[in-house]
Amino acid sequence: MADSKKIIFVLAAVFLFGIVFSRFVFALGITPGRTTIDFSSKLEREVEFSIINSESKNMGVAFSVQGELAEFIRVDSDIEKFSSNDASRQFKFNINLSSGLSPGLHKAEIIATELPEDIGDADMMVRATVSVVTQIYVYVPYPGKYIESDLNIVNKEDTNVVSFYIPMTSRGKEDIGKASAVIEIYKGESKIISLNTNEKGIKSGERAELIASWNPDVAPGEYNAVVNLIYDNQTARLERKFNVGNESLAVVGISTNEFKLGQIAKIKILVQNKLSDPVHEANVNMRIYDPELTSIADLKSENYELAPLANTEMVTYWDTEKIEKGEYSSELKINFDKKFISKGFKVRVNADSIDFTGVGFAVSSQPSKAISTRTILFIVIGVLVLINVSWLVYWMRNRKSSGKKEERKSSGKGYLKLK
Amino acid sequence: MKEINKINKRAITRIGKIAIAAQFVLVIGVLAFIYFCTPKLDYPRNNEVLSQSAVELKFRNARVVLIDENPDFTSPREIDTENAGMANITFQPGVYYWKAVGILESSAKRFTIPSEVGLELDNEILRNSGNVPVNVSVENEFGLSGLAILDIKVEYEVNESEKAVYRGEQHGG
Repeated sequence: MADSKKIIFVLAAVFLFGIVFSRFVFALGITPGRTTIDFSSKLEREVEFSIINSESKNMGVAFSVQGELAEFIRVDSDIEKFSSNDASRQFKFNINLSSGLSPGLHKAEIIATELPEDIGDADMMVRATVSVVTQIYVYVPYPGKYIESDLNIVNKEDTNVVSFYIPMTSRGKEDIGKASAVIEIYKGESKIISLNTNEKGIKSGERAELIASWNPDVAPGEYNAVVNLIYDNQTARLERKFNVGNESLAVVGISTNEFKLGQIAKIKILVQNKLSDPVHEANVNMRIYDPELTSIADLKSENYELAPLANTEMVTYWDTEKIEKGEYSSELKINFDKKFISKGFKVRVNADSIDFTGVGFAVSSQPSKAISTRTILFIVIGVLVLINVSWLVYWMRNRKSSGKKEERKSSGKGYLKLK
Repeated sequence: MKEINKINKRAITRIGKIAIAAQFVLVIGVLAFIYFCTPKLDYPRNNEVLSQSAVELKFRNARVVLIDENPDFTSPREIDTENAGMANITFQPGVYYWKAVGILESSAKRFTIPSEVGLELDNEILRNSGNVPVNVSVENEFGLSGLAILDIKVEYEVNESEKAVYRGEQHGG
């Protein structure tokens, strides 16, 4: 009797322990996160999206639609059951829009909410859960010509060239015949220089990019770029601040010492503060990727104060217990003052050392040149024309000389008669 | 004289034949050169929608790949591959155009990396498990309110005990 009581007590304790310490992990994914649709006079479309069962478990998913366009969207299911074998499942929604929408962006959201497998209604949930959203963006074109644009400024420290990129999307009903921009650079109130971009035509709904480059011979510091975008006699204005000159921080060196594979590596990053002010709360974040580009380490340092115009050693640690010898990619970020600098490295792990070399890949303003097929064809056509002209000239000359001889022969001044 | 004319005509005909043969050889040679030397893009195929952000670009007859978000390649990323014919690259979600450059240049192809919004709630820790930053809002008895913007793989502590739905949607316009 006492034994059975003991057993019941133990079972109850295990049961209670299980309830208290059981992990409820809610995890859900949805793809794509956003579907962008350009509206035409009447829009009727079926769009697919997938729900990802991130934890591979039995669960329910409830669907709902919200937003300005909710009444025009129909999802092919309200609640779906997932089994642990369903890594992901595909669903569809129908969007049916007639005219009457104002020009510009209109939105809707399809919300997928995770439910425990035994619950058939989101309102019956008694504890927290997660939901994920796939957004539907419908762009209704503006009458006439209309451009949506942005300004990206890239400062290449190694070449001292500042590149201005102006991506544009034509959101009007009409094509843009010609778009170009004038970029004015200001230091405070005084204008430093005006730059002209290239010219581009853009069809309705399509995207293009304008570019200008500047090789600055001005003092390092903050400057202001004002862009006047001109497209078919219309204008738009963009403005952005940017820095000229060296980055405020630079990675001077990176090394390890007394390393043995399998132990914890102490990675020392020597950072130069080029500013005349101290930098507070700077830290290092280093991500290392295997050849399949899967992140295998996400290393973070503590916060450092970087003395002005001096080098500071920042340290982070890498546990290499499960790491094999070989070459890895790495991205190093130095975070400071809500900004960061980022560098790419190759990391070669040896039995008793780690080598850091090179940079991964870079934006190129002058991409590799290859002979275009068109150039080859032009050359070939040129050669063919040359051969044929030479041949024609040769043939004409011979024809003339033999014609003259024939003429002389028939008029009695021929070689035979004289003889 | 007739003999001379005959010889001339024969010479002209012979040169003409040689010229035609030379042109024929040239045209065939150039076409063969273009066919065999133009880089071929094997993967991803044109307009393919890929399921993961790490992409192994496969191509032939080139070592350099150009990738751009613009079809006219105004600001391309240039990747000089160590292993000819293959490049492993991780992309942000978006639409990309790519082409390979060898002696000749290939035509451009387009592929899409779809965004994935993912949210995980594990013992009062919310985690962005997707491939884009997410706006997280919380829906409870007080209605819907913004909570945080979580970058990829970033975690955020929440009070899970309340009955709430944590909603994640793609951040940015």
